[in-house]
Amino acid sequence: MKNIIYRVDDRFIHGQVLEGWVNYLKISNVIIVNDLLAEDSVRASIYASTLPANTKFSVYSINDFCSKKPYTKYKKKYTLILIGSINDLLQIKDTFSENIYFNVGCISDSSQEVCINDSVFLSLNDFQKLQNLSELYDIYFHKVPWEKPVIFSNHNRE
Amino acid sequence: MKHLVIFPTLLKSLFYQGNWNITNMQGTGFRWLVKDFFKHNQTELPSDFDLSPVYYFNTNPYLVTFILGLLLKETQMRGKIGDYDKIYASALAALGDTFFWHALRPFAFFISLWAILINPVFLVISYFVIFNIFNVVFRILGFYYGYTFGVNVMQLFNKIKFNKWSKIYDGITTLMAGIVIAYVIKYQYVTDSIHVIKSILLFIVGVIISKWVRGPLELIIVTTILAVLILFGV
Amino acid sequence: MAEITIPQIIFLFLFSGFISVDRLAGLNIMLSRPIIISGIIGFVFGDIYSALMMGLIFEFIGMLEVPVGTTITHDDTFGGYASSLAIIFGVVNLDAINILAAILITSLLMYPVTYSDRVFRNINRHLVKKSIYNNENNNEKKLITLGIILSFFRGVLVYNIGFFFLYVLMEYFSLIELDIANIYDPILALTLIATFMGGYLLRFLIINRFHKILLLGLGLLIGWFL
Repeated sequence: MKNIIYRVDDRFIHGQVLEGWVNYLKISNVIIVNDLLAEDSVRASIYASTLPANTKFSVYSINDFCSKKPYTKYKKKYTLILIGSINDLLQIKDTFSENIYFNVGCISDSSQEVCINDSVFLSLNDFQKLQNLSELYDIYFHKVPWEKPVIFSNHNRE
Repeated sequence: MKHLVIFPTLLKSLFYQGNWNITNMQGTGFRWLVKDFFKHNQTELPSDFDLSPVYYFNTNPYLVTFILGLLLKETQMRGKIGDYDKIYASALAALGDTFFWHALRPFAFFISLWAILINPVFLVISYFVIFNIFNVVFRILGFYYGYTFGVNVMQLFNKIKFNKWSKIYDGITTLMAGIVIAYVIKYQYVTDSIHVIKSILLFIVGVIISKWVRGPLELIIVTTILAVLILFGV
Repeated sequence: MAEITIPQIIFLFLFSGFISVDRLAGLNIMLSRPIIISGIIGFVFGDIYSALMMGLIFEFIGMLEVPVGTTITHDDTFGGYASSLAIIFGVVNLDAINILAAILITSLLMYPVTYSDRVFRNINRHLVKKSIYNNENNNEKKLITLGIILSFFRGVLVYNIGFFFLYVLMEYFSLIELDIANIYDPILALTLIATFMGGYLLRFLIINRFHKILLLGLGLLIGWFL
């Protein structure tokens, strides 16, 4: 798995993320990219308190994340970047590269039209956006690393 | 501590996962608990609480009472809860899953294993008691501390360094696992040094294969097949 | 094998239901753990050591899988229940080969039993969707009660059918004549499995590698000279 993981998860940090990603892959850096949380230190501190003591945690607004690209500091270690929605993911597309592992882990609004797996529900609009993104990058839909993922991929891509 | 009526909700909290499903997870049960807890503590439900059947909620069942306590406090102070139910559901799920599911079960297993030397019934009882001490204490105190600290209840978890507990318990488990493996191999298996070497090789092969199997059940299947082959050569 | 009485059979049916509820729908007091199940079954039927042998192995599997989020872990509750009963009912001889065969067959049966967990969740989902469609409110108690009853009967049905399959397959296995059967002590089977699985356990624990090696080494020394 690539060292930089972009995970779309509307719950940000919860059991799957901590147990399934942070502890399993020994992730040492966790970044949340969200405008609301970047301005709310109380909510951000709640999430910070859940992580192991030696895990670095930071919150960036979308603009700050795009301009500062903080994950470039941690090249050899796993960095988990948590994004709250597909829209937010596409807003940081300037930071996309081949070195990123795109994971859609949890979008919990089950009223949406498209059910990818039992924790990802997409609107048709978001589904099409991800299909477009998969023209350039593989997108992996799974909750935890050891689960077999659903993959959006462009087989014609070189 | 302020007098809270917790007992009826405490009992119900044991069953609030009865309708667990992927549409709203524990949402049905949590709505049930909130209504019950608020009713018994003579508080109107918060104006912004989602009562619809699609209300999504999921957290660690041993820590759910903290959320009930803090929501009651928030409602009594401000009349609404914002999104603290969601935030704390996620945060306490993270903390609770890592401690109760990941760390406490192996810890209870290895600590209580020794009771088999005295009486196997004690093994069962000690496992049950070790785990459920934490279960009961967290469930009961969750109401009070959630209510006392409100939305700052995470400060309590920081104060007791709860995010470190999993590592500490895993450390104790590692030590205990070493003791158990060595004891069992020495007294049950080893008749000469070749068996020590075979045990070490088996352990190393297990470490290597564990990277390639999907999960412990698949590993058990591989193990049983290998063990039969090994017995032919033992 | 001692005679099984009617009250013991009734106990088994009720017990299989309760452990299913503890696993899926509520309680969470660890009644559904293989070590507890095998201990209780062994106590009720008068052979706790033999039953615990199987329970300990399936406990090992169960504690290495964490039920986070929507993940459905393999049904080790069934593993502990069926394998303990198989020993109590006398279809598993107390030697290493037979024990290993029983563990292997039970492990394979765990796959369809785990599928029934998924079916249970889907039924719950269907009930919620129905209440959304019918615009029903304040029906939480009804949905939860239905879920608990469903999980109870799922346990009674699925666990006992699964045990029946294990019983039949072990009966067939006992007809195979193996030269090395009845030679090795059953604890040898457990020792081999525990040693092998020790590696997986080590990977599972989240302390850093240096501390892991140090603590494991210390534990091995203490255990050897105990």
